[in-house]
Amino acid sequence: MHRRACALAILATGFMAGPASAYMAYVSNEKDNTMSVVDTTTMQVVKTVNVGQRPRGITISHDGKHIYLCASDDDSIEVIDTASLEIVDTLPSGPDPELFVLSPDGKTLYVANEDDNLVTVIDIEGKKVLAEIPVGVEPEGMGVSPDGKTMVNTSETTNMAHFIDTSTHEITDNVLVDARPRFVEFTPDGKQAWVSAEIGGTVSVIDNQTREVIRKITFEISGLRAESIQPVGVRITADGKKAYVALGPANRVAVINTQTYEVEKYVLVGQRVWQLAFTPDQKTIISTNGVSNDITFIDVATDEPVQSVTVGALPWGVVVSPN
Amino acid sequence: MARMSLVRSLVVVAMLAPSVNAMAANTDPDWPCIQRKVPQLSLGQIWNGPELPPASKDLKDPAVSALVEEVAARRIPIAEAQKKIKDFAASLPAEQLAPKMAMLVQGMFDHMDAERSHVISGISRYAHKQLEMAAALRKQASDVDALREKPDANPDEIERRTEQLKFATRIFNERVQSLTYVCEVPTIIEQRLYQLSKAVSETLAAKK
Repeated sequence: MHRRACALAILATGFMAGPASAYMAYVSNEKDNTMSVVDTTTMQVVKTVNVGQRPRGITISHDGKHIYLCASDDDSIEVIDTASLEIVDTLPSGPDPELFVLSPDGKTLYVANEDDNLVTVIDIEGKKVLAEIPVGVEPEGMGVSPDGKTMVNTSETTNMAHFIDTSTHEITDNVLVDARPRFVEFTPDGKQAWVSAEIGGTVSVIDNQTREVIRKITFEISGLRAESIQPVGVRITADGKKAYVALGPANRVAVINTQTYEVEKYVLVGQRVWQLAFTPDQKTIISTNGVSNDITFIDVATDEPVQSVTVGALPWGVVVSPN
Repeated sequence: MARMSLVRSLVVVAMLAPSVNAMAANTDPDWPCIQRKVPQLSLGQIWNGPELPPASKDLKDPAVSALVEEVAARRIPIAEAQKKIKDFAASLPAEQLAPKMAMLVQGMFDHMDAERSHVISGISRYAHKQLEMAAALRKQASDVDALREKPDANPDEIERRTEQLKFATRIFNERVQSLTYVCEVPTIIEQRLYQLSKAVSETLAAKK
């Protein structure tokens, strides 16, 4: 009896100590055409949803009601209701949508169409294509400035970051970066765009005023061949102090001090680290690990991996509910 | 005639399949898999623990080398293999844990990386054989075509050769099918090695 009371007390403290809010993380599993729904508090998969073919890019509406998912081989974007977890709509996307970004006002999606060298601009409410912007060969990474005025697309083969004015849908600047640029992330103050280069093995920091590369970040890990360091996903904390870069088959996430541009830590998470997402309270960052078929929760305060959770086959992207 | 061209188009489709994959992801023209060819792994991909002493290279400890052989075997479920590692760690005196575990990681890496490289060269050989079979099929198909064109050809002979061609095409296609599984094997070994190393890290973390 006494022992049971004790156990209950421990259980209660356990609950008290845990984070108060329960966010949901949504993970696209490229190989088995599913989306895993993971409770970020219990760190357990609560549901697996069947979606379209080859799901990759994933994002969520600002009110947290709808998930947008690139079903690359179905040439469409699926809209999933977060309450029912059912596909309620599809948006026109152009062929082979891989990655996209939602405008800060939540009304527009900018989609990279890998196969036909276009960025498609989609009006979410009207479900129509507003513009198709020709860019370099194999468009991939997409980023938008916090004020919504500038959108950046990277082209994998042309090795450029294309800066696009979102009011005119015209390219204003082309910035050469390293080989196979994959991802764009703006700093929260909008002053810089960070662009990762998978084959080049670097992250270029571009000044959003001058549109010039002001810094190139490189990575070095003992016991690893340089070619296995392939930077892909990039996320910067809301206070702008730290950047996290997923390093692909190096199986690590690099933690970078944004003031000094120095790598302060390499966190071993899982195999082929692809994309990253913060929880809204910024206490945790989650990585998708494609080959080990799991996601890893990293504590942002200590930069220690807390737990890995097995999801579907070849997890690609991740997004966390805002509320 | 319609049947004949069906057989021929099957052959063409089957022959195209592996080479398209090869072009999509790799520069090695003989590499048939959609997965990128990574001939060797590096230790840093699986190990973040303390530097491994050079001594751990020569696996002189019979208990460790026996354990390497055991856990590397894919017929043993991963959970069971991880348990074997933990049991072994638990059986060691405290001062031997770190050196023996270092030896174990190095041993598993060397063993499984070698096994993986062996599989990769096997895949290349398989793909090469497949190209030769494709060439033979092409010749067989055009020979049957030529035979059919002859006004005095023996219908039984045509029938027999067509059947042979169909059979050879079936074997070829089945080999194409198995290739998709075979191409997964290097990744399966890599996954297992990572999971085993993780079990080793956990035994070291537990003792800290």
